[in-house]
Amino acid sequence: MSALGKLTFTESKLMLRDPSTAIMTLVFPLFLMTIFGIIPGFRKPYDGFGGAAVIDTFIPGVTVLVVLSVLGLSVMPVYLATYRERGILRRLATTPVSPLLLLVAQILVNALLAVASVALLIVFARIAFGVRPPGEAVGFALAFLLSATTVLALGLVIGSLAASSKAATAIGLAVMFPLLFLAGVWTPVELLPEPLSTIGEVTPMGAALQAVRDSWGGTFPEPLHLVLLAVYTAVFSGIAAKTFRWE
Amino acid sequence: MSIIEVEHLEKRYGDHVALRDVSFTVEQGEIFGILGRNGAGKTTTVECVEGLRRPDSGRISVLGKDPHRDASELRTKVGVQLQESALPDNMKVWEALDLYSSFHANPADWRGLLEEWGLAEKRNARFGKLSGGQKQRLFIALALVGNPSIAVLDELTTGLDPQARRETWGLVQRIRDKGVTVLLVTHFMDEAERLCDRIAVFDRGAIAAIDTPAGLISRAGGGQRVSFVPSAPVDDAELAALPGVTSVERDGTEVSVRGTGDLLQVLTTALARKDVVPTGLRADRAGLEDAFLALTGEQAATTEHEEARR
Repeated sequence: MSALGKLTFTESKLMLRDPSTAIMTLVFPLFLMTIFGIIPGFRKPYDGFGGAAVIDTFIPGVTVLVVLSVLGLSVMPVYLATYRERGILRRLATTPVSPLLLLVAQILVNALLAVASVALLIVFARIAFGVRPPGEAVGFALAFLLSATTVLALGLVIGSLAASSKAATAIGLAVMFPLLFLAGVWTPVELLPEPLSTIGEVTPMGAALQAVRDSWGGTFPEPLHLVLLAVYTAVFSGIAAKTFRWE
Repeated sequence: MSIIEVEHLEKRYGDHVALRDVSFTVEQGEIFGILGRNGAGKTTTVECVEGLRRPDSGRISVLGKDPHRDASELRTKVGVQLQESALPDNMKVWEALDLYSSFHANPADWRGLLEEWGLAEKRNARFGKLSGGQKQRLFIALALVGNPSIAVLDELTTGLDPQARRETWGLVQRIRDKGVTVLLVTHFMDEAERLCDRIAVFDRGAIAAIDTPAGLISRAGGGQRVSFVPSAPVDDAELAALPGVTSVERDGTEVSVRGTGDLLQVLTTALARKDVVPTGLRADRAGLEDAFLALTGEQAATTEHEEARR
């Protein structure tokens, strides 16, 4: 097996061996879906959403975003900061492979976990609450991919800047909550007053949420949102590449 | 040709001079020691050799290559055990070896390394559950998994209990017996004296001396130390006047005489002539520690040494 394959495989095993992360990532979306699914009002058509029920696209979209945020802004940065703190990255730097490979492996592992989690969510929402799967499959795949790269790249920035695993945890949370708020996770952007709603829609998570919701509802995501996500990915990756320290 | 050549290495961190004109060469097949107190520049030096750090000036050649320019090539030929590095706690012993062997184009058979370094029983144990000695053996195995020509071992036995340290010494000799040149960084005198063919003594960022352990000891005056508690008062000046005696020290009632030649014979004869019986008589050959203290400034070292004894 190639070094990257083996690293990704080993990192996956390590993640599953510390099962709280995997369980949290796979079960929490179902929990969230259930909580909102059993609120009667959320299952009725809602004028604010153009006649769609709250659990049709809003709750699944929020759930996808929360999964990505937890993995990208908390799990991965803390892993990387811990690896740096304990000299694991440094040890890798003395081998013929670049420690960069470990970053790639970490991104892959977290992305795989996110995909598994979202697949489970789609099936669960369908069976338990009759929520239709994403209507625009290609658009959804694209929206999900770009949302994942945006959040993971932002996670790399946090992992680069944090001096310790404790700092990574704190920074991750400090970045996550405002971004989720602006994205309209607590109050949908449709209901936020101007200019907050506009600002919200162009933030990394806001654009992600809109793109995921649109495609789940059956329309192709707005190009603006997809372009924004691609730009955020490029910018965050660039910052991470500039600031990442191996020790 | 020397396998490692280091010439006029300089490195400073801000105002702090970490390395001052450090030069040495390491020959094929030897265990070369880098000995010094903490902060003497040992790790900085080997990190420059490993290509992890870039010196401000000076030239390094490893196997005829430049550690920076030819980094990727050298990484297959230099196996490294780093000070203060670890593996993820949940990684199993065999997984670490399997993973690290996948980084190399022509790896050693890691199953064989498991056997060889006494880790076969711990194959499925997680890194976090290993004892200090087992962790070090795993690090050695990881350093050797790429079939390197050079192994750099930084503070290999720090934190190990005496039993595990002695076992690890045997392992280092085995690495050399396999034809691998060893660069051993240590601050333990007994370890350096026992293992190294040649030693570079580091003192505050510079090399104080390079020689074989025996060479260093004789350079620092060599000789012996005889300690005893005299049964009746003796005059220090009389002892100091005896042939071969270089110094006389007192620690409470105990007298320590340093010197060369037949020191013990000379002393006991002189004392017998005065009807003084030396009780608790003890003779030590001067060791690397004495040489090290002489080479790196006895003043500071002696106080440190005495504090340690209290």
